[in-house]
Amino acid sequence: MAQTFWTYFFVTLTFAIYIFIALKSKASSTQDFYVAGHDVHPVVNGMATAADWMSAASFLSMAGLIAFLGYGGSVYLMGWTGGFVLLALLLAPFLREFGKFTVPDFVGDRYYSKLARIVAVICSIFISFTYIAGQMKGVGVAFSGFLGVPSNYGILIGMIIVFFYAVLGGMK
Amino acid sequence: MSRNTEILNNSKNDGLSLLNKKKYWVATIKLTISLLFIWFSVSYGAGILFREKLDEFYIGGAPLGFWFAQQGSVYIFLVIIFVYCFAMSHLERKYNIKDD
Repeated sequence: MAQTFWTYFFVTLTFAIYIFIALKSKASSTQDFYVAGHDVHPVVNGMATAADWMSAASFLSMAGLIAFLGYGGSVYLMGWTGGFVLLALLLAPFLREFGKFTVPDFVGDRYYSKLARIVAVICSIFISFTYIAGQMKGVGVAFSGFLGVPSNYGILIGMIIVFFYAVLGGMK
Repeated sequence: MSRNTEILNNSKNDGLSLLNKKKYWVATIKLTISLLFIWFSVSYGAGILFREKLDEFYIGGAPLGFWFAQQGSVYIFLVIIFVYCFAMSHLERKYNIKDD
């Protein structure tokens, strides 16, 4: 069988599985949407975080950065993983105890200040924006590579698929 | 002062004294700071500040400073996180902090 057939086959299969999961587990409340009703096993949660990591950001950008920057690229490696250590030591335990879903909620509650909450929201919007911009570029590169379409269409197609199963399923 | 009375009033555990909670908090802080010191020395210290001195040694064919920056620091970060989890469970059991 030709290689293009197998590429299409596996990609369609993977996305069909995602969409099937999204349809089966339709999120029906805010809790469901954001934290899957608190009944996600920690190991599964950890796997979701790992999947976050093993995405376009690592395979395309990190690999490329280190290839082009050489020795200097290692600061990105240390920064990324070291940041996770900071999260685990300084933020995650307290977040869990407070019972809030998101970091801005937690910050606002902990410091009894609406202003702190707004600042945290703005920070996380900036962070998410830059991260997603990088990821979408990676999605565009990947899709245009295997579908053979110009990279604008690659980004559009990827965006539509992700939108579909994210809106339906949320964190589930 | 009001925060202490708040803790006293909201305490869910009978017989759990305020002193116990303070000791637990101090132990947590000590643990966190020592782990953060290791974190800093392995990534910034070994990878950036002392890199030239460490580069004289070799580990498996790669200079040690370079290895720390690219691989060693990441392994040690993982170990730090696991150590933190186990140490915190141990502290919680020792000071009888119940978790819901």
